[in-house]
Amino acid sequence: MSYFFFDLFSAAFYACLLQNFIFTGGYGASEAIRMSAKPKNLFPLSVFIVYFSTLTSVICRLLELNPRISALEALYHNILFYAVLCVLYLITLVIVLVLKAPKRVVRRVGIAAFNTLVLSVPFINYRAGFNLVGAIGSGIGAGIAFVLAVLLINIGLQKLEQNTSIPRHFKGTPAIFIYVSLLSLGFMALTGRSIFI
Amino acid sequence: MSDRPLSETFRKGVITNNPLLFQIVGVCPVVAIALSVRTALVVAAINAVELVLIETLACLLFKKIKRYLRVLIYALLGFAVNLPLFILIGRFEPEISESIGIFLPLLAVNSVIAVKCETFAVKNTFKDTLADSFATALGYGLVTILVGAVREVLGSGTFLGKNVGLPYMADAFLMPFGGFMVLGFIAAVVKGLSAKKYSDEVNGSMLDTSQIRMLHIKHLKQLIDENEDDDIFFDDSVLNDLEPKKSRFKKKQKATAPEQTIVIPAVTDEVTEKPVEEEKTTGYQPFADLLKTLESHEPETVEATEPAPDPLELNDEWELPPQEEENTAEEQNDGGDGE
Repeated sequence: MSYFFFDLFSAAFYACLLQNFIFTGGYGASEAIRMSAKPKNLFPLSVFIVYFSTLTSVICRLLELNPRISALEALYHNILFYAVLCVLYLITLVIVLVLKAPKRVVRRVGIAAFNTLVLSVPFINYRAGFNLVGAIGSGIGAGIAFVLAVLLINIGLQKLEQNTSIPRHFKGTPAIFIYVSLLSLGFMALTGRSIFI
Repeated sequence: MSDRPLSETFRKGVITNNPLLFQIVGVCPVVAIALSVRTALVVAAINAVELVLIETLACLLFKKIKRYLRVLIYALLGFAVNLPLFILIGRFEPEISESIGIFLPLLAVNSVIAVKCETFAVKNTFKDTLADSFATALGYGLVTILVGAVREVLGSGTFLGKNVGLPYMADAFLMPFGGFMVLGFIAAVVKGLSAKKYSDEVNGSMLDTSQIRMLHIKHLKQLIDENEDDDIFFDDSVLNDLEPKKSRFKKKQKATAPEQTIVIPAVTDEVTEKPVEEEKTTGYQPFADLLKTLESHEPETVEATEPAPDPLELNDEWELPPQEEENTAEEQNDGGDGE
């Protein structure tokens, strides 16, 4: 039991902080930056991202337990990951439509499902050789990493908006990119890599 | 709608409405893969093929399909285009395939495709859509190659694989940090160069930050402020951590003064009324200290009561563009985050 929680926690910690998927991998960076500018519906979207990243990750890992599938080439793994995500999206869509969810929610399902962050999780699990528990942790960690990234960027954007000393041409998206780059540099420090050769 | 002049379409796609620099879509492949000119060229080429094909198909075939199904179709089409390219690159350029790693298949869900299809292709004519797809692909590709070139020179000390003789190389430029940083500087340069002629277009295409403060966490803060009297933050554990002795004293006071909850709002008025100070010294110092501490952090919440910024002041950089019929900046933002 303790191993279960250790694996789960360490994989989530890895995805969220040590290798924050957004800042040190760049996955889902567009969605994170854009959501941080319109964070009103951050949590509904985050719930869907956690849902898709965790379920895709777990289903793909379960399928890879089959020796025939695990022996396949990388190309077929790509097809498998895409197929799982598309089927999961369709099932979720049906559930959401049957439950007569508001239009905004339905739109968010698509955005949450088809982005580089969600799709990268099974790829990373496959490459890192995570077990099933690790895959669950990685999926949850990816969602938390997204929330963390959006909150951090949002705080920065608010400060940037108030800052009157930013040069005119750097105002707006240039300043946003530079701020995100500094956040990325901060998270990169957790990986222990040197900046200069 | 009337067809746009080609020059305007290309100007918007390449400069003023550049998807990467001002709309912030499709960032992931650029910051993660564009580490050299060669890999940047691969990204730009794949993106161009996907964008032109899918945007054109979206214009011709998908206008009457529901949006939530279109999103799935874009992903499937992206994958259908991406798969043969993945095989070809793996066969003929194994080094690039290896260096790009998992990002190559991820290009199929590049957000620039979905955003352009949803905000432009399904609302415009075939001719306009075709021109827009080429312009967007060109704008995206040029920036990607430029980012790749700068990162290759600064990070690896080479250009197109040849040594440029830099004394130091900044390894960080080969990581997402470098990608974001270079994108920021390129955006500033492009904005500066186009400021005189197309200032409005550039400012209008930039990410809409008008809702930046509407974060759930702010609502949570308001909730806490409103329920301050309910003691949800002043439980014993909090006090024990901060002032163990005084918390014990508080418990005694609780026993002797059951109506202690009325004291909290009174203490908040201590600045204006002296009698309150007397109450404060009657054994509720922990509350007063905590409230003082909280109030010392008030500038965060005071922001909400500040007068609204002068619209004229913001007008320079953040104003939304004049609304266009088919392709407003708001819609472009919506395409990415579903607002």
